[in-house]
Amino acid sequence: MNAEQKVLVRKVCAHAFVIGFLILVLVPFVMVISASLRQGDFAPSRLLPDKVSLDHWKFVLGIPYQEVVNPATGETRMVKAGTPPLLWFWNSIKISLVSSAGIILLSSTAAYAFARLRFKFRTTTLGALLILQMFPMVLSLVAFYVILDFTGQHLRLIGLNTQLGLIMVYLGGISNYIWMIKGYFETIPASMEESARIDGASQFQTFIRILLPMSLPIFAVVFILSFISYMSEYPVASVVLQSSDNWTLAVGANSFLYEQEKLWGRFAALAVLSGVPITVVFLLCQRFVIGGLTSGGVKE
Amino acid sequence: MSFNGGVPIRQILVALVVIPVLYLVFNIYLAGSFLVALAMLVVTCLGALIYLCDWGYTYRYLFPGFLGFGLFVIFPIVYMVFLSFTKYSSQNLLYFDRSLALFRQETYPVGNATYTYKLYAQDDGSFILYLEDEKDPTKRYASEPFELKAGEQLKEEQEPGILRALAKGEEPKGKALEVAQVTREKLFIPMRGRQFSLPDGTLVGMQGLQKFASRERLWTINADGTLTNKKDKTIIRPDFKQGYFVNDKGEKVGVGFRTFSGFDNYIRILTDPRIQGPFFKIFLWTVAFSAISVLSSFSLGMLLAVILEWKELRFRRAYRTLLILPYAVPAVLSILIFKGLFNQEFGAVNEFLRGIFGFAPEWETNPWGARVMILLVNLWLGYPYMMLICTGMLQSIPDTLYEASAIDGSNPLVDFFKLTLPLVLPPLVPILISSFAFNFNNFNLIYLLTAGGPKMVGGGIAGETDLLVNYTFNIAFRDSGTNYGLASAIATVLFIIVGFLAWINLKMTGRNVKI
Amino acid sequence: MSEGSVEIKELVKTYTDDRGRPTFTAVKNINLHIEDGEFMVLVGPSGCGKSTTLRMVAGLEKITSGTISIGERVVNELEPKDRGIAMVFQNYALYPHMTIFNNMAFGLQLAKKKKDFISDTVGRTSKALGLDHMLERKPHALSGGQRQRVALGRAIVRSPKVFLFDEPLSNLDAKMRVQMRSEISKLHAQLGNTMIYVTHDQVEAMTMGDRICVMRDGLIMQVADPLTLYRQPENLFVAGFIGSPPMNLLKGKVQKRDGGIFFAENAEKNALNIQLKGKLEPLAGKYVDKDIIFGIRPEHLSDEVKDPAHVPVTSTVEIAEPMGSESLVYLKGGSGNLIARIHGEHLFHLGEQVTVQLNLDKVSLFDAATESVIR
Repeated sequence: MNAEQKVLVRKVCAHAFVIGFLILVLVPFVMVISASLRQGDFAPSRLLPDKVSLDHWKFVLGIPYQEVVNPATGETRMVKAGTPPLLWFWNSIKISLVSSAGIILLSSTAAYAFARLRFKFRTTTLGALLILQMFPMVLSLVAFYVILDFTGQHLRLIGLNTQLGLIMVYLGGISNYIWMIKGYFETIPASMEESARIDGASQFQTFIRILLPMSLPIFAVVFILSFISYMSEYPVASVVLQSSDNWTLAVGANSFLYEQEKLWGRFAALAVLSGVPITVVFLLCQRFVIGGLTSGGVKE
Repeated sequence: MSFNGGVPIRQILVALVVIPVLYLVFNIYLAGSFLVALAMLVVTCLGALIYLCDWGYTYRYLFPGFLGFGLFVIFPIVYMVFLSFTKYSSQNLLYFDRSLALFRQETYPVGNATYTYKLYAQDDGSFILYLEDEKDPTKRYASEPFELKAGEQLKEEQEPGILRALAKGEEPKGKALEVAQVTREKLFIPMRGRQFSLPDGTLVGMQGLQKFASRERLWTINADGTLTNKKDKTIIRPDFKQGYFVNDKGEKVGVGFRTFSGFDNYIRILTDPRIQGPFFKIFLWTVAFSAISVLSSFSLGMLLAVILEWKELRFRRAYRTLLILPYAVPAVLSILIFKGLFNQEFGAVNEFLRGIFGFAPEWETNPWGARVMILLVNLWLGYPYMMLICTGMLQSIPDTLYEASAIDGSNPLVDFFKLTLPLVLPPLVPILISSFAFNFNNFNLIYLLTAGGPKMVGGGIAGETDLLVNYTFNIAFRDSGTNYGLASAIATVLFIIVGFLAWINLKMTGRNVKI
Repeated sequence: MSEGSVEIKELVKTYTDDRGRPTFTAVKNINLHIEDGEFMVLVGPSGCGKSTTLRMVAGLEKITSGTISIGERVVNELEPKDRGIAMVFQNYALYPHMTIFNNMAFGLQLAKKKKDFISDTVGRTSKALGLDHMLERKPHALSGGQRQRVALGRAIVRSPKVFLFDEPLSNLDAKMRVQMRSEISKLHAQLGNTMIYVTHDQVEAMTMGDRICVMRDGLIMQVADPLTLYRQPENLFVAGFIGSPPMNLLKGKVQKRDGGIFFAENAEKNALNIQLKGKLEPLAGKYVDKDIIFGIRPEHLSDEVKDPAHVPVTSTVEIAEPMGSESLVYLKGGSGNLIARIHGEHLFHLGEQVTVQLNLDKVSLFDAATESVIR
């Protein structure tokens, strides 16, 4: 086999492998869509629904529909979600957006101090930040409960079962993002800020008007990564948010799967509904994410 | 302080924030939480100084972030570690003082005088107690107005209310409440703990719902801290080791309390067979799970990255976009979807396997089946991230290296193992370590996918697929004996392990490994 | 043809986009024969196709059409490792994580040669290049010049038939460049292999090459030894490319008057107007009243009078660059400057009136339309 033939064989193998793998990877997605359109609540198991029904979608979208209660008598009843699932979706978006914005604010200012300013114990603090963050949030639940219970007594707005309270908890998780942003700041030469200072800007102004605008790529990355992680967060949200109209998507979706009766249909519809916009946003910004995740690389 | 001419914006902002906060601090102090108020005061003052004084300039950038971090990361850890040294569970729930107070409140009937009673509601919301001796209706007494909050347990010691004798025909002021009303409005709850003293000094308290009787405190608190039972003269002493009051026979009496237990919890992890057995099994599974997850997702991610970096392959971009999809979907949903797909009876996977191969593994009831399922799902979730990272790494290797190796006589396989991998591994190591740490604590995956199941035989509440986090979580929050103390100890151990990994990670990134 | 000769026949390289549609043709059908043992330099501005041609010889680029033969064999279908070539890259392409020894030994290790043989070969080569005391170091601990030598060593160890150099000296500082130039030339003298050397620097080309192939926009402009290129450029491009400072090129018309042939520059002021005598007369005679380009090199606009074929030209100095033993003087010309090389240490001032002697024997005339030399 000569060079060209070898290359062709390799190409064919590569294509075959990737396509085969893709099929495996994407099957769950197809299943879910089909489960959402399938009448009844079966675990996702068919590629195409045998009996198509829009009931689950109606439920998730908050549209009331008739459901057959007793097949023998043909008795029906109106089914409407107690708490519209779209509300959960909206709660999740709200919380995630605000938390992500807050995270960017808090971690960028702190990263600025680490990257550009000098102070005692700088390196130790940096290391401590990273190590302390390793403590799993899940186990801090008791402490969170205690804190929020206490603040709830004095400040209605930030207590248990408030979205603001949950956001506060999330805002504690800045350390990884400080590392990312700090790393990015360090790749920007300080000479531009220095020349701005010669031009008369204060330190703060050089931060706001020079460094921040140049760091938009990393902010995009931090935003996307944190947004996705908050949309997915489950344990803390389920402990802090107790009433069903405060629930986030994750908690609400899980509530469809009771031990006894797993309402797969509704769950699937909700999953598709909520997965789509996030996926779209992610795909649009994937260039940023790839760039941000790989700022580093092989040193020569 | 320095004014930079013009409007002192910073100072005004500081004032706008500090003043309401100080008000809040004051309120908290009034409500009785002295320590918290003090802590808040210190933090607020520190904050104000940082934003007003010149020396604090650098710290202005750090303060808000660190505040959140301190409250929601450092405090929980400190709290956890503190708890790990205590005996704090659903049995040992209260603080020692509270426990003691409960004993103090206990009374027993003395003598045989009983009284009927009525509560008279006053216009201002307070109440007057009216007592009438059952045997001698001429003996009537009324108290001064006092506060009663419906449904509220008494928190502290109350001085006995003073009763004065009523003259014949004198009626207490206010509107009389019937006993039924008292019950309905839950006023009997605060009433129960109260004592009143008759003019002659005898103490009376509620007996049942209908009557008052002379009641004496059951326990006297002795100077040496023990309690003597006035009725049968037994002595109980607080056992700080067990967190209970114990009598001479060593039996526990009354309600347990929290106590400092030193390293007991840690020792228990190592020695109690109900904890030790599961603990080490779970530890091993956690390590294995993390290692396999990292290795498998890395291998797959790297393989895909290498294939997709081949410039001559068509549709590369489309492939890459599709392959990243698992990363974009919120993990919560994906995990639950897989839960459905792997459903033993009806799920897609088993339907497919049954159809093609004729057998269907037990994903839910067999521990090894469950473990394989978890690893597969985690692979699905984890490879996109690795693929992205590896892509970035590969892109930073100059093409000419491979051209040189082509001339030297290399082929793709040799290229990968002798060139690519050695060049890419050093910067990857920190990422692999942090991925390991992430999976070590991957609560969500197990919780949602298997809830730790199937249950471990003879392991208490441990599950075969529980990670250390899940096990700890269950000990802390699941019904059968929520044991915060023990959970905190396990959590601390976990933290030490993961923290150690992070420290190693730090050492490696910090040194900026040169090739 | 023999072992190390290279024959390029009708070579074409066209790039295509993702869907296979042609986008850009980098090499537009060239033919080149390189003798065994020859040092052939491919020179030209960036984008002229020289690197692409070299890479096609190496096997790193696919050939769109045409053939390349090394020795007597057509190598189109062969992989780089089977062509008997070795290459030195611009950025050295050393394996960063391997020691110098391993960098040089890699190819031999892959070919499963014996350990003794490998250490022997690598040892000899590294000694010859002055690298034997740093064999255990890694590339990042070496200077640019040392790294380049390692790259050389790696190529030598392969005992190839043809050495390929892709702008190897561009990343070095000026001093190092001069040193490495002579080292490579010495290497050629020692080993005697065919060497194909790509550069954009015409000084390098002139000093190192046995023959030079001047390329532009994917086509060969001229192939000849350095002196011929200098003396007898076949077209305007080669004339302007070779030689530093470049040849003075004046646009103008041929006029017949007063019983003689004259060249009249197209300019409002300071136009050059010279009678073309000697061998120029019959050449210009074919282009009466047509546009031509008059070319004269700065070194032939001097103050020394060597032979009767000199014509004085007087003008004012615009810029003077003293170089030590001579000065480059930019004289006001018709459209732009006339550059002259004047010997001596005299310091020229702005506006100074100078008379230079134009050597008619060294003048080249070019057809303004075809850009070819008029012969």
